[in-house]
Amino acid sequence: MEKETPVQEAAATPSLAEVADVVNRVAEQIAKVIEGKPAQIHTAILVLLAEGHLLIEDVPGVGKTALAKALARSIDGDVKRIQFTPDLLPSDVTGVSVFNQSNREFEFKPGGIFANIVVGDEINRASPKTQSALLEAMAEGQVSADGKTYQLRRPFMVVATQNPIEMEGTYPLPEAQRDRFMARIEMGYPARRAEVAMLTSQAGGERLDSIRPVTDVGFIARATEAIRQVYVAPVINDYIVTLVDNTRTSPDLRLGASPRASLHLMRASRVEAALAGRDYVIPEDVQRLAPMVLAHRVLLTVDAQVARLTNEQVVAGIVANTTRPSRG
Amino acid sequence: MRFTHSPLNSLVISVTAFLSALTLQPMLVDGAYLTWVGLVVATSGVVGALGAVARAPRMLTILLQLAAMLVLLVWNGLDRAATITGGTDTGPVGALVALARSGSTTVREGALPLPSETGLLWLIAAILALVTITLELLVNGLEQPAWAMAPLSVLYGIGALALPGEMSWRHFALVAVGYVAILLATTGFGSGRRAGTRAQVGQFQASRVVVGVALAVVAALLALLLTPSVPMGPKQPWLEAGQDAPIQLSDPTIELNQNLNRPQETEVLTYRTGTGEPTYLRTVALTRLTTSGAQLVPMQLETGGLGEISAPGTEIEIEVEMDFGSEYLPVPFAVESFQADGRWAHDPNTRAVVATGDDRLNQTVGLGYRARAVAPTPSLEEVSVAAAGADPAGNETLRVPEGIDPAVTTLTQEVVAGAADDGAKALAIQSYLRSEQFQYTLTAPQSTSLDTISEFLLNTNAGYCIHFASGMVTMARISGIPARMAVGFTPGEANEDGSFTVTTHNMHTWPELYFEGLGWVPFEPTKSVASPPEYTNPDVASTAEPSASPSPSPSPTSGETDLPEVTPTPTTQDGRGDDAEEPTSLAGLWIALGVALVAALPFLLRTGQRFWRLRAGQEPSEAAEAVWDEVRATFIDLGIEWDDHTPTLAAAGMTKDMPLSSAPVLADIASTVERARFSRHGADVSTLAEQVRTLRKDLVAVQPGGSHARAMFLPASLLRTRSGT
Repeated sequence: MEKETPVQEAAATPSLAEVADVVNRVAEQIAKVIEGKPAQIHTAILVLLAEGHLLIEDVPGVGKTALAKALARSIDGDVKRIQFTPDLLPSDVTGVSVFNQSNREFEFKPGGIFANIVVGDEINRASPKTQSALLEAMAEGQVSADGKTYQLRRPFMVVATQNPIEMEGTYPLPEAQRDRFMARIEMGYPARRAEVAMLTSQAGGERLDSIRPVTDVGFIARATEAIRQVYVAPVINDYIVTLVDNTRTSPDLRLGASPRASLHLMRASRVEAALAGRDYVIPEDVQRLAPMVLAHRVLLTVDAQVARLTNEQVVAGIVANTTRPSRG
Repeated sequence: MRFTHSPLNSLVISVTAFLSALTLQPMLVDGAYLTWVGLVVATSGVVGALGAVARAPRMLTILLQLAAMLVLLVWNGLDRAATITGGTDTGPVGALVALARSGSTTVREGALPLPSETGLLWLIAAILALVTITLELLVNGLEQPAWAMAPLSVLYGIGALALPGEMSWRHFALVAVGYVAILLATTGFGSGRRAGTRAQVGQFQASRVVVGVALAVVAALLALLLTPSVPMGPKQPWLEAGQDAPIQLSDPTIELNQNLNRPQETEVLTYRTGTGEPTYLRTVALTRLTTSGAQLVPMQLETGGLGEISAPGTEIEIEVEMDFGSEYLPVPFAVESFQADGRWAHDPNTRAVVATGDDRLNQTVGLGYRARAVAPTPSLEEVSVAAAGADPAGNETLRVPEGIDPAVTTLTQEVVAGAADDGAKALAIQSYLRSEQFQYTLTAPQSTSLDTISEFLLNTNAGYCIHFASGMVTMARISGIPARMAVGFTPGEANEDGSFTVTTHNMHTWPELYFEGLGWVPFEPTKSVASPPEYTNPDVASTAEPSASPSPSPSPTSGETDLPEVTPTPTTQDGRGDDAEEPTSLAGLWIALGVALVAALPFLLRTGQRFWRLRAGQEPSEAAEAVWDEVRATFIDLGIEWDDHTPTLAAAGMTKDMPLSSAPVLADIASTVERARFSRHGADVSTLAEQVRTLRKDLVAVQPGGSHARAMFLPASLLRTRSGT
C-alpha cells in the first residue's frame, strides 16, 4: 500500500476542481473497504460536503459502520461511535458536567457527539428521549448543558445507522426526527464477487487500517464554503419547491416532505453540481438526488402500502411526472 | 415580458380579430358580414384553445386552425357561389373564383357604403381568416405578441384609407383594446419579468430596428397590393403621383354644339321621377372661363360616396333608361347617391359623375340607373337677399376671363346698379339676359374677335345657350359672385305614361351661382329654352309651373352653321383609370402558384422560424433558448434521435453517433446554452448562431439525399412539441 500524502491545500477557498479532485481520492480510499458500492460512497461524501447528516438503513452486517469509519479516517477527522442501546442516556450523547474536586468547579465532560464524524449505531434501539438529544444537537450544531453552550466540531456529520423497523426491539424514529437527516441510503448486500473479494482481503487483517488520510478537516470546511457559491437559478429553486410540494399532494402519500426537505435538496444539489465540475445546478442534479433526500421523510397511504409501493418508487414517480424546467 | 402559452391566447386572438372586423362596419351598409366573420374566427379560437388544452404542438394547432377555417370558407363559399353562378357547374374552384370576382367587382364598382353582396361577405370572411391565422403565427407561433398590431392595423387602415371621412376614434379603440388583450393574455397578465441582463444593448436595438424596417416594408407592400382592390378616395397618395394613366375627358361643349345642330333628334334617355315632375339633368359643370368659352379644369376624382348635401333643397328620386353614349352620368343637381352598373367616379367639387370603366365613352349605352338628388329650391326672397358665398373649391369660379373688354364690366355695373344684395344682382343679370334685347340663335354670329363673350354681350346680343350661360357667368363673377357653367339637358318632353324623353336637342348649358347658405343655385338666362327657375322669377307667381316648359328645342337647321368659337381643347384629367386585366385567363396560373405556395409552406415556415430564432440582438437567455430549440428542430428534421435532457447531458449522449467534426461544436453549443440558462452570470451567446449554422451544415452534409430533401420540405419539427413544455 503506497503512502498517501495529504493534499497541500492553500488556506484560501479551494476551487471546485480541487474539491472534486479531493473527493475522488476520498472515494478511492473508502472503496478499499466498501467494495462494489460507489453510489453509497458518493452519497456519503456528498452529504458531508452539504453539511448534512446521513441515515443508513439496512440489516446488520453490511458495512454501515465501516463506511462511516472509512470516511472519517480518509479526511483525517476524529470519529466517535455511539452504540445506541435502550439504556443509553441523553447525557451519554451530549456530555455531562461533573464536579471537579481539585478546583471546586463543575467541569464539562463532552459526550460522544463531540467529533467530526459521529457514528450512531442502531439509533432506533435507543429510547426516544436519547434519540431526540442526538437529533437536536444535529440540527443546531451545538450542545447546551448547565446554561452553557458548547460548539460542536466542524465539519460535523452524524452517520446514523438504523435497522429496518420491522426488526425486534426497535423504536422507530419519529417523522420529525427523520426529517433532520439529509439523505437516507441503503447499503444492500454486496455483489457475490465483491463479497468473495472481501473475505479474501479480510484475511490479511483489519482493512480500515489501510486507509490513509488524503485531506484534512480544514480542507473539508473550506470546501463547504466553496460549494455555497454554487449558483442555484431561480427556476431550479422553483423546481425544487414544486417537487416537494407535489409530495404533499400526491394521492399515494399521507405525509409529504417538509420545507426543510426543500432546503436539504437544494444544498445536496449544489454539491452534486460541484462534483460534476459545474458552478451551477441543473435540473438533473435535483432529479438524481430527490429519491435519496425525500423518500425517508414521506409516509405512504395504506392503499399504497397494500399496492406494495415503496417510498422511493412514489418519489421517483413524482419526479418523473413533474415538468423539468428547460429554460433559465 | 415572458411569453406564456395558454388556451386563452387563441380565444383572445379570435375576439380581437372580430373586434378589428368591426372597423369595416362604416364601409358597409349593414352588419350582415359579422355573422360569418364571427363564425370563422370563433372556429379558429375554439380549435386553438382545444389544441392548447390537449398540449398539441403549436404549429400543428395553427395548421388545424387554418384547415378548419378553410373548410368553413370553402363550404360556405360553394353555398354562396350557387346563387351567383345560377346553378351552372363550374367546378368548386371556378365557383369560388366567380364568388371572389363578384365580391371584388362590388368593391371596385360600388360606391361606399358597399352593399351586403354575397361575394363581398365571403371575401371579408376570407380576409378575416387570413388576419386570424397571421395573428396566431405571430403570437403562438413566433411568440411575438407585440407584432400582433401589424395585421390589426392593416384592417383598420383599409377603413381609414377608403372612407372619405375620418374614422371614428371608437374604431381605433376596438383595435387597441384587442391588441392590449393579446398582450395581457400572452404575458400572463403582466406578471412577466425581464430574464437575464440585457447585454449587447446596441446589437439588441439594431436587431429591433432591422425587424421593424422589414415589417414596414412588408406592410407597405401589402398596402400596395391591397389598395387597388378597395375603394380609395383622395387619401391614396401614390395615385396622385401619376402612376395611373389619367382619363381624357372630352369637352362637353363641343358635343353640345354638334348635338344641337344635328338635323334629326336622337333620343338620349327617358326618365321618371318620384314625384312625376320634370327636372334638369346635369352631366358636368365647367369652372374655367376664358374669353372664348368655358373649360373643364382637372378634377380629382373619387370613388367613395358622394356625401350629403348641406344646402337646403327638395329631394328628387329619378330612374333613368339611357341609350346614348356618354362619359358623364346625367343626374339631377345636386346628386347625393346613385346606383349604376359599371365603374364610376365623381368630382366632389362639381358633383359630376364620370365613367372610369374600360369602355368609358359607351358606359351609359343601354344603362338603367337610379339616382337621388337634392335640388336647391330657395324662395325668391331668400335668393334676393343672399350674399355671395366662398366657393369651397377655390377661386377659379371668381376669376373673370382675362382680356375681356372693359366695357363688359361697365355694362355689368349698370345692370346691377339697382341691386343691393348679391342675390338681387344675380336676378338682375338674369333678367337683363332674358330681356328682348337678346336673340336666341343656334347659328352663332360670326365673331370678329376671339373675345366671344364680349362680342355677345356688347355687340351681337345673339347666340344660344352657351353664350347666355357664359355671359351670365362672366357678369356674376364681375359682381363678385362665384359662378360656373353647368352642362346637361333640359327636362325633355313628357310622355303619356308619366315618363319624360330627353333628346339630343335638349342639350343645354346654364349658370350656377354660389350663395352663402344656399350653395350652388342654377339660373336660366336663356329665355327661349326654358322659363327661369321659380325662385328667380319675380313675374311668375308661386303658382308658376317649375322649370317644366318642355320642348325648348331649337328648330333644327341644316348643317351650314359654323362651329362656334367655343372651341375647348380636350383637357387632360387626373383620375383613376384602371386597365387591370380580368384574372380569367390567369386562373390556371394562380392555382398553380397557390399549389406551389402551399407545397412550399412548411419549407417557408421552417426557414422563417430558423431565421427568427437565430436573429442577432436577442437577450442572451432568449437567444440561448431559441438556439437550443433550433438545434433540436434540426435534429428532428434530419431524423436524428433527440435527447430531451439538460443540454450538456443531452449533448454528451448524442455526440457519440456524430461525425467527429460536429461533436465538439454541439458540446460547445450545449455548454453555452446551459450556462445561459442556469449559471449565475449567464454566457456569451454571440457566436451561438454561427455555431448552429455550422453544425447544421455538417449534419446535413452527412445525411443521405432523401433525408435531406425531407428535412427541407417536410420538416418534422413543425409537428413536435417543443422541449420541456
